[in-house]
This record gives sequence, C-alpha cells and structure tokens, in this order.
Amino acid sequence: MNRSNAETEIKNIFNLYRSALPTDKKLLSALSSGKLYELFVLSYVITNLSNRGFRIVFIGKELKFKGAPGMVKLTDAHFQLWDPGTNSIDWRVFVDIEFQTLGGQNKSTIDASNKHEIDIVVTKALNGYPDYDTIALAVECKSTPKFKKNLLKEALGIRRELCYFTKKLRSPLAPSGGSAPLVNACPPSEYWLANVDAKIAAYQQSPATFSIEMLCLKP
Amino acid sequence: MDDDDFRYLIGIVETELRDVGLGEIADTYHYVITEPETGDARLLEPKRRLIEMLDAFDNAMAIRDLQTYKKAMMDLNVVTDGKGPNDVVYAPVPEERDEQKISLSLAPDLSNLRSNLQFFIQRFIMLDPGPEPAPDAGPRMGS
Repeated sequence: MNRSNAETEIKNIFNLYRSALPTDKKLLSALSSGKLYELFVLSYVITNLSNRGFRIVFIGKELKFKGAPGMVKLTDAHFQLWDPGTNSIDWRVFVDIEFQTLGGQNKSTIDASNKHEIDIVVTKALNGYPDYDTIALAVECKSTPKFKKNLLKEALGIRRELCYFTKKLRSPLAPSGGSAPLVNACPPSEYWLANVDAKIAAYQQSPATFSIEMLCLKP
Repeated sequence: MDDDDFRYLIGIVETELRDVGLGEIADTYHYVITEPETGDARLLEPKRRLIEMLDAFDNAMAIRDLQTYKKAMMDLNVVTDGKGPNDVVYAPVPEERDEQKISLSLAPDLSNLRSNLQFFIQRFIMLDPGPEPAPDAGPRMGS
C-alpha cells in the first residue's frame, strides 16, 4: 500500500458511507443521538440480568426510546424481572427516565436540579419519577465514538446523587438464591457507564472505588 | 509509507469526517497523550493517530448499523420469556410521539463497509514503518 492507493481507498470508504446514510432526517437524528447504541446496551443489560437468574418478561409490543426523558409509567413498554423462587416481580426495567436525586430530597425547596436522566434504569418504582433509593441499577449509554474524560466526570456527578459512599454492601439485584456484586454504595445500587471506544478501559480504577463500572461495549 | 504520508492521509480523513458530520472524531484533543515521566503533552505519532481516527469512524458506523439493531433484537428475544419487543422506535418530540416515531429497523446496513474499513485498518497496523531516514536525508517520498 502506498500513499496514493491509501488515499483512494479512504475516499471510496467515505463515499460508500455517504451513499448508505438515510435521507430521512428523523432517522438520521435517531441514529446520531445514539438510540441504536442504547438498544444495544439494553440487550446487554437484559442478558446480564437473565444470567443472574431473573425470568425476563417484556410488557408491550414495541419499545420506545424518547427524545426527552420522563417518568416511570406502567403503560410504557418495559421489562419485568421475576424471581423464579418466589414467583413475584422484583424489579422493572425502563428507558429514558429521570430520577429524584439524593441531594434534592434533603432540601425542602425543589428546583431544576432535583432530577437527572438515566438511559436505562432498574427500579421498584411503579409510577412517577423514581426516588434514588428505589433504583437497583442505573446505566448510562454514551455513544460518542471517542471516549472523553468529561463523560467520567458526568458519571461521578450522577453517582453522587444516587447514594452515599460506604464499604461493601450487597446489591439487591439478584433473585432469591442468586448472587449480586458487592458495591461501595448506600443504598447499594449498581451504576454502569457504557461507551463504544476501547479507550474507556484506561479510566476504570478510580471510579471503581465508587462502584462505577466502566464498560467498553462495541457492537 | 513515512510520517509525512500518514500526516497527509490524516488530513484526508479529517476532511472526510467533517463532510459526513463526524468532525468531532477529527478533534486533535483526542490524540494528545501525556508523557508519564515529564507530564508533557504531545500528539500521537502519525501512523497511530490515523489508525485511531479510522477506528473511531468504525465506532461511529457501529452505532448506526442495521446489524447492531438485529443483534440486539435477537439477544432480547432469546432471553425474554414469551415475546420480546417486535420493534424499537424513537420518538423525538414528546408532544407528538406517535406521529413522529421512527423505527430503528430502518438503519442502513453498514456491515460490509465496516468489514472493509476494519481490513483497511489491519493493513495499516501491519505496515512496516521502514527504516528511519538518516539525519541528513531529505524528505522521503511515498513508497
């Protein structure tokens, strides 16, 4: 390979990409906003929860990702996590939800800072904005093709609003007889940050102290 | 190929990325490393910078590829007891969700293009950088 034919190949690849892109602006917007990546990460989350022993039931027909986050609504499509031992629904999985922050619940006055968005949430809440202490797992899906450190800083802020720092409590996210990880968090929620770039692996150690799991998930 | 060739190709890739709306990948910020011993920042060497830039382009394609939709839907349906979702849609405008929603199954199939790009990247990785030019040698032309 020399410079000339490398240049030709690069231009060919980009030309093919250009011609493959959809012309529909709504579809382009959906793809650019990372909703397909959110779906990919959701499939990883649901598979992980199935491997922990939960029976997974989908409620609804089509799953809807929203341009703006909102409340938990049982009428929205979601997944139920059943405990096969007790035959009861332990948790539900929703997408694009805002939760009520730990900090906000320590204040008598509410302002715009008392809610934050989570892409994928596993919660006991049945309606409304779930409180931070009803959440067992929160997952951020960052589709940026290059990992940036500000994504970690943002995750640290969300983690702060989900729990206090403590030593090794057992996550509640396992069916009876199953095993869930220990987390340095009270309430003992799990928190994952997923990104498509392998560079995220270089940012694991310090956030691990706060039980932030940095996941490289590339389709 | 030498560093000048790689710098030239980086310029081509940067232009193309900006043209297809992925200019963020071309941002120099992503390709700066800090020397652990001195704390000094420097740009990655050109060959590695080009490879990382192309790999990031592959990341961008991965999250727009129909195959990603199909893989996720297959995995969801495998682990779901009963029926999984029959489609996944995006509703960008909250007041008009049902009118505005669009199926992610309409994503373009980029799998062949991604395979070609990954093969192209592998060829760069395998490329022998060749001997360093002598201090008094002039600039090397592309081989």
